[in-house]
Amino acid sequence: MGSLRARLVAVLALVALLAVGSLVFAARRLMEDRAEQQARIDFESAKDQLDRSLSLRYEAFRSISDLSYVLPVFRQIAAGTDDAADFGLGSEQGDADRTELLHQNLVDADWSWARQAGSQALVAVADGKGRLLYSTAAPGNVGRSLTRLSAVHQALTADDATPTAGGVHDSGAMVIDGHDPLLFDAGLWPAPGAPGLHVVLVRATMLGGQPKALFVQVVRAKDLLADVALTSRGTHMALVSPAGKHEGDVPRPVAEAVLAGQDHVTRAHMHEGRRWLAYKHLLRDIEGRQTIGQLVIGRDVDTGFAALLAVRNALALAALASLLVAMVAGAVFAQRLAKPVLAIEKAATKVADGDLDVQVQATGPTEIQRLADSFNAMTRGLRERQKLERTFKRYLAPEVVDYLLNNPEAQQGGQRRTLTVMFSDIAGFTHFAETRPPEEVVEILNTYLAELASAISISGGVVDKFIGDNAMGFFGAPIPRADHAARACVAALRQLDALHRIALLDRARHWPKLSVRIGIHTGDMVVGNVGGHQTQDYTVVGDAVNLASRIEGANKVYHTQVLLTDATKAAAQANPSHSFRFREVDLVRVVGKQTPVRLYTLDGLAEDKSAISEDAAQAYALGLSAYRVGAFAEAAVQFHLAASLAPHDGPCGEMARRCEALRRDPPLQWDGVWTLTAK
Amino acid sequence: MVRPLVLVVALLTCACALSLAGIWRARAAGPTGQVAGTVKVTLKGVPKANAAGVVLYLVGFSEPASAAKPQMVMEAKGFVPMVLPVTAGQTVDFPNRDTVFHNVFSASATKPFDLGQYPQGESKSRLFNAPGVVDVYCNIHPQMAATILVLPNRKWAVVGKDGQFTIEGVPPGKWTLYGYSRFADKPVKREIEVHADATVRLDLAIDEVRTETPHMNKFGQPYGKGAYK
Repeated sequence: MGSLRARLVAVLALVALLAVGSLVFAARRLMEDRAEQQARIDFESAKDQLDRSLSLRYEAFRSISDLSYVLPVFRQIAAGTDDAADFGLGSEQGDADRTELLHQNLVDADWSWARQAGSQALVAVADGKGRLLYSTAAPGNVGRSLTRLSAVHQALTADDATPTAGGVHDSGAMVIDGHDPLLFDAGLWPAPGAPGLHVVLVRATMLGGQPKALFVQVVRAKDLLADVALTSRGTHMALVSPAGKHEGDVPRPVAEAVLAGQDHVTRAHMHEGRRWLAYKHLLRDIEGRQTIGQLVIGRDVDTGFAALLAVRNALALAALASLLVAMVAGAVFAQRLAKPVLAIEKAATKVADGDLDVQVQATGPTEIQRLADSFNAMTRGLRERQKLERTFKRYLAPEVVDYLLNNPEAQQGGQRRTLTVMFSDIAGFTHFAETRPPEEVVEILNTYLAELASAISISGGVVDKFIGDNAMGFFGAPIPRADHAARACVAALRQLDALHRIALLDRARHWPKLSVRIGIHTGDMVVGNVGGHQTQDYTVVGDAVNLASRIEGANKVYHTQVLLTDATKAAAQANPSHSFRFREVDLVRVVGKQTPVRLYTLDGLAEDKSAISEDAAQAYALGLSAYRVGAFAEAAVQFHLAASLAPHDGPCGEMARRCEALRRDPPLQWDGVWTLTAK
Repeated sequence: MVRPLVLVVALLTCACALSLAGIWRARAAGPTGQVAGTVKVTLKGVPKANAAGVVLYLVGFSEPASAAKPQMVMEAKGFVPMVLPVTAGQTVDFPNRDTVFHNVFSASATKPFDLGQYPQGESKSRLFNAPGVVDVYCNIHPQMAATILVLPNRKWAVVGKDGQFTIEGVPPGKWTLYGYSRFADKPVKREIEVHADATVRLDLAIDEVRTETPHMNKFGQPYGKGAYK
């Protein structure tokens, strides 16, 4: 579970599972609620219909009852055993008289409630032979036989022909005298107080017309107590008498469950693996006194809502499918996400192994792309730094590195510029190297060269290269600096300082005292990256560079530590940041050059007290003037004076010795320029 | 008051004439036979000495009613006779000869009526135009009960105490003989064939199952506790 991919897949699968699960749960709840709601609506509708039926029945009974009280004879006639036929005395006239009498009384009764109840409520009264005595639909229609209405027929022919509870009920469809078919709900009950009469209730629903005449044909007739109450399918009914007698097709446990409960409607009751909803309704007799029983309406929800259950199953399938899709999508997404991360990791390993040419192809989210971009920028930076280091092959001051990184064009191509170049050579090292073990030689050399290089860098120069025990540096590039000559001078002084410091340590280590020879020249030279494609040096080339090298070598002649040209002196003095004490040493012609070069030595800064005295310097200057014009004897006097004043100063002694020699053996031609013969 | 009297006399005369004409027509129709026999009455299987209260009648042919006005008299808190056969079309008088008020009503299907209450010496009448069985009660005295048999013809016999009966002048044909008692469940019924100038002889047995006929008052309610007896 550690990998990003696995976690993503797991999280996505979990989310999908949760979403789908809650969806299925919600859908299931919704469907169950809908099913229950529908059942409740049906139950309420059934209850309403029952109540309306009962109310209608009650009103009809009340009408007849009222009639019986107002006209007692009516009740007697209605109830009277019409046994004339038994006595062989039946006659049409007698029947007609009696029917007419009952009819007249019924017509006079109060049926206003039935008219108010609407034309859909047909109320009829029949006599014991099923003959129509009165109907609210067609008051003038008397004597017709109703026995074709199966409820009437059934009531009149049944063995127990005096139903007490609900009478005989019928419903179905019928045709009224050629009019549109109508749905009807017909019931027949014995009229209370007039046992010979039956109340026939017909509640009819007709499309596009009013019930005008009484029915002539029963299209379908069936004992459908259930259909009376509920028109929807899947409904079951049962009548449970107060004594517990159960009649009907609602499973007994379901009926018992709803009857035992407080609510009129059960929650889903499981019976034989099916959920039932059941509703109960208390049935009372017409006066509302006596309990006839409990009507239970049941509904098998699982059957009634099989379609909804199918939808639920489909949803479960869809849930499974979306789970799979989510897992696959998660895997793909994770793969896409992990791929660049893995690529970057691989690239980082390569970088660790030194391969800086690695580039990452970033695809994926923005964050990943930014990571890849950063990685590429990092390797690019590393590459450039490495290239810089390869190019300079030596220590670079941080500010120079920054400058080069920020100004890549500074080292592109070649430029001709006026720069100051400086050679620093460890004097006497060759001899030393021969007498010491190589490990010590390298150690000492590295120590000295590091100090020399450090002095160059600190002063703002670039350490160009090391040539044996020689360190070469230049100033004014790649960062353009106006005071490049002054900086070179400062670097030279720093190198001398560093040498003094090392020399103190050297004594403790029993190392020989080593000195340095520094040559500085300022002039035009070409600067740029020089070399093959693989190894390039950022370096300077030109006569000025060679001259600087020659001047470094001239130190041997004058026993000096620092020599510089008049060009450098002029450039350094043009920049007033430091006040150097330059001392003209000689005018020389170096090997391979015709143009004489005026050489100066650097006696430190003006405030330094360690430099040679003013008197010595003055004597040297006087000697030099005489020397130029060929007055070697006079020059020798002055130089000797200077040498006596500064016994450790190289040029004083050298020039004194040279003038002594020249005085003894004057040259044929003398232009005041000393030609150096060694490089 | 002369004119109504004259009118009544005239009407009676006409009625008599019509009756005579009817009798004549009947006789003119041809020779007749007669039905005679004995009725043995038992009360729940026990022979009764007195067979009175049984009426025998024939059904199957019609005759016009006679002009006679039969009476059902109220006396000693009872109706006399207890069974009165009449022909459809006859009017029956109900004189009160008792010392108390009486009421006459019927809740029968054939002829429902209510004559109201009236005192001694008064009489009311009612026309019975359709055949049937009309039970007659008094709304004051529950023990008063009688039956008027409205018959289609005049061929009936009121059985005497000895149970002997004879019905004369019966037209030849196949008729049904009924024996009726107020206290029997069902009438006794016989199919007979009458031939001219011959006598059909038959013995009947009627089993009475009660001695009185329980009934409701005219309001369809039971007689109250304090009902007069």
